[in-house]
Amino acid sequence: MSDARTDPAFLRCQGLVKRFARTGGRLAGAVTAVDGADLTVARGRTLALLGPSGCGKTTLLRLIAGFEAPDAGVVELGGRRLAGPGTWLAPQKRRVGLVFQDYALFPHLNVESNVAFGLANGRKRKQHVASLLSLVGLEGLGSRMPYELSGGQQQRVALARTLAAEPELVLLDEPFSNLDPGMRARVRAEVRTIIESLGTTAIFVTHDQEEALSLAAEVAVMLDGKVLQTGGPREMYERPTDRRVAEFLGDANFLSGQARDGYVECELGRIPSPLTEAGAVEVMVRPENLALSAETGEPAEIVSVEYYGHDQAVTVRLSGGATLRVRLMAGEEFSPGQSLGLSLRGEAVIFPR
Amino acid sequence: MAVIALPGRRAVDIPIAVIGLAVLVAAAMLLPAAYLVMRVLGEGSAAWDTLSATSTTDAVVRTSLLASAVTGGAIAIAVPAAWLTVRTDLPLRPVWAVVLALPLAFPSYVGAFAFVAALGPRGMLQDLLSPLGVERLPEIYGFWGAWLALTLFTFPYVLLPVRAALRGMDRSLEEAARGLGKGSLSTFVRVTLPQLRPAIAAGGVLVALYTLSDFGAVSILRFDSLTRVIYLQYTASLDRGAAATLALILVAMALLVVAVEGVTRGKARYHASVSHRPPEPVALGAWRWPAVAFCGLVALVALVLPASVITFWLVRGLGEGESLAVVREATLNSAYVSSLAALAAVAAALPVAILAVRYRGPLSSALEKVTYSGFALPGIVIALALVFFFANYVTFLYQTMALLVFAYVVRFLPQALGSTRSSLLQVNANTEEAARGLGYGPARVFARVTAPQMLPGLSAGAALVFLTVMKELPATLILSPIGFNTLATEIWSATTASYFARAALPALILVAVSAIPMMLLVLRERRVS
Repeated sequence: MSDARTDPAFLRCQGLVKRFARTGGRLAGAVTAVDGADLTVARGRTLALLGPSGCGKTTLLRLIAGFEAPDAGVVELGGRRLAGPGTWLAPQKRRVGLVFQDYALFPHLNVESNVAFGLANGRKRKQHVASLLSLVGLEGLGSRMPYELSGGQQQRVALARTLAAEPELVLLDEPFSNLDPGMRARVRAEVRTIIESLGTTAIFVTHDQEEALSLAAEVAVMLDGKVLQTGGPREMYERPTDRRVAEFLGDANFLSGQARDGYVECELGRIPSPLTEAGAVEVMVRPENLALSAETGEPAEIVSVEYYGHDQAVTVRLSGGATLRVRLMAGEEFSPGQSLGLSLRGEAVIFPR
Repeated sequence: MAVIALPGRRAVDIPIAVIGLAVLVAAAMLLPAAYLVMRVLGEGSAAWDTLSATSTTDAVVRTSLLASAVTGGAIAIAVPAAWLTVRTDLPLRPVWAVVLALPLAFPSYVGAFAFVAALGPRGMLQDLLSPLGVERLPEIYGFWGAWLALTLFTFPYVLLPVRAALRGMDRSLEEAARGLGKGSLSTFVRVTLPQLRPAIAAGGVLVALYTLSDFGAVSILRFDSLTRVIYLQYTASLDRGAAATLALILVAMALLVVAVEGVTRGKARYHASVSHRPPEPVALGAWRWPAVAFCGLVALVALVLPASVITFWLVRGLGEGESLAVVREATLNSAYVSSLAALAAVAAALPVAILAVRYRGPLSSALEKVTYSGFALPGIVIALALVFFFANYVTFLYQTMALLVFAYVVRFLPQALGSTRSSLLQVNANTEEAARGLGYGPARVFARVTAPQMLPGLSAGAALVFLTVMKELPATLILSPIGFNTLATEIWSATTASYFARAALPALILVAVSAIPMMLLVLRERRVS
């Protein structure tokens, strides 16, 4: 990774704040949509920006693209300052391409003219458009009008149009949410392949945690206007640094415990812990990291069983009263009221209180 | 976090040029009313004398009576006609729907001219009846003539919105009332009519404003409503201060009408039905023939009569060798000045619409409101204010085509703004931002992305202004450069001199041109259903 082109902070957002005035009667006042957000993306990397609706992720994207001006903080791209105190670069000068949720194709232009929109006039223009269309798998559709295309095709035209302008950074705002579920996985894989094959730096905004984990090299979780944690998908899922991140990325069980030197005491027994300080802690265990057996483990009673076909979720109650969810392969059959032993078979995450 | 609609989606870099232009447009719109206020305040006690004169009070009373009577008459014709043509098994229902909307194609002064030519002293009806020993017809001139003409040529303003409301109404409400044991009349009065109230009020306001600002019909039918008094005051005497004071009273009456509509509209919200079950037509039974007679009578007086009068005089005029060259020149002049006004109105509407749609905020909504306010200004008021202002302060523009076009823009900008605004609303703002992201600056984005998408709406707005300007009378009369005759001024001068044959061809051309948007409106109503 010592390539001279590698730049770990190719995009750097620091302390971004954006407030909106809200008009109208008793609710008048400012709403802080982005509240001190920090985000860095390395050159050539893809990042999924994940958060629930209303967390400020779209506003963060618009701040980077230059459609909103920050109230505080800086945005830098490849060493150029795009926005900051006393600095403002207009959106058309940023070389940041935005792919919209609704694709925003120009309805009065055909596919070819849409793709060619951001290209400089020149002899190679036509060839360039043709090669972009074949890159996104739309050869021969250049003379179609946008309304004559399916949602997935429109999506790819929008991507080709953005890539044609050779942006330094591509932003995709909920790019797959308008596609029907059957198509979504395929288009997602295609888009990922195209972007990675070109080595383009890209940010996908999504509210779907599965999509975020499977789509990009890195995931950033945003809540209440702040970026809480950034990292690889596995790291984010297995070792969240924040209880809210853990909950947002998937099912999570929480138990209270007491830290001693090198281990934590909780209803699941003794768990090894990296913490050296003693005190009250919270233990997070993913449902798939628990096991049920007749022979070993803490005594637990089965409360309910949800059967999904490929697997099942079993809710159990420990003798201490805590209720936990366990995700198991579908093979073994359980019934409510049954008593078994519950044990930890993978890692647990310890959050100091 | 509370979910909010991002106010002013693009707070970034509001183009100063757009704000500047919009402020300029709004200032121009305010000019006539602001100047009148200044002028009247400057008059001091003279203005008070005009205000308190019994002749003024009489004119205000006469005008209010006429406006109320015309509005009442229009509602009385329009509501039954709308119900019959939407909800019953009236024979030839689709034909009546078109026929009853068509009287709107007659500018009121053309209709008045037809009435005088047909029903006036020594008119066609008199000629027909004199062998039977009828010496005198009831007087067509005065209040009842003006009332009849204005009612018959404006009731479609109520008919069209009420028809639309009846089509969109949730039928299950009526069915619920019937289920609760109410009879059909009681259901209509207690359930249907209240739901039609917003549509009736909206149409009624248009009729009342039309009547208040009408100049041609009341002048031809010699009824001294305020517009005619103002015009006589302006042309016959040198006392322009009095004309200004009366004009301001007229503006106040128009504003009152708009305010009253706001109150009658009420607080209830009405929802159109979601499931569109085709309504079961009401069987008229024995009532079908009186119903046909009602529709037929309205069509006879409001459509057949004026159309045949114009045709009669046209044939007679052509036989007597009326000059076609004059009409040709007037037609070209009308088309020319109307095109200029249409282009200017759309161009003036653009900056206000862009600001109102894309950069919502207190400033942009204030500018938009000011621009819409011209809607309540009668043409004669705008014309007089501009005459006074330009003759005193900007003399080099006085008596020019530019001033005439300016007056049209002030009068009809609200129309252009409506369609410009809605066509911009249909342009996805994301397409503009996408173009910015592809390296285009704001001006190029507008030229390459926004304007092409707005084009159909802009053309429709321009066409609407074009057609309305063709028919405009008082501003044309007062502000036309000397020797510049249009179709409207030709009809006016021929009618006031009782040369009906000379007025016929220009009138026919105007009616034919005005019928186009009526036809489009009716066709669209059909397509929607």
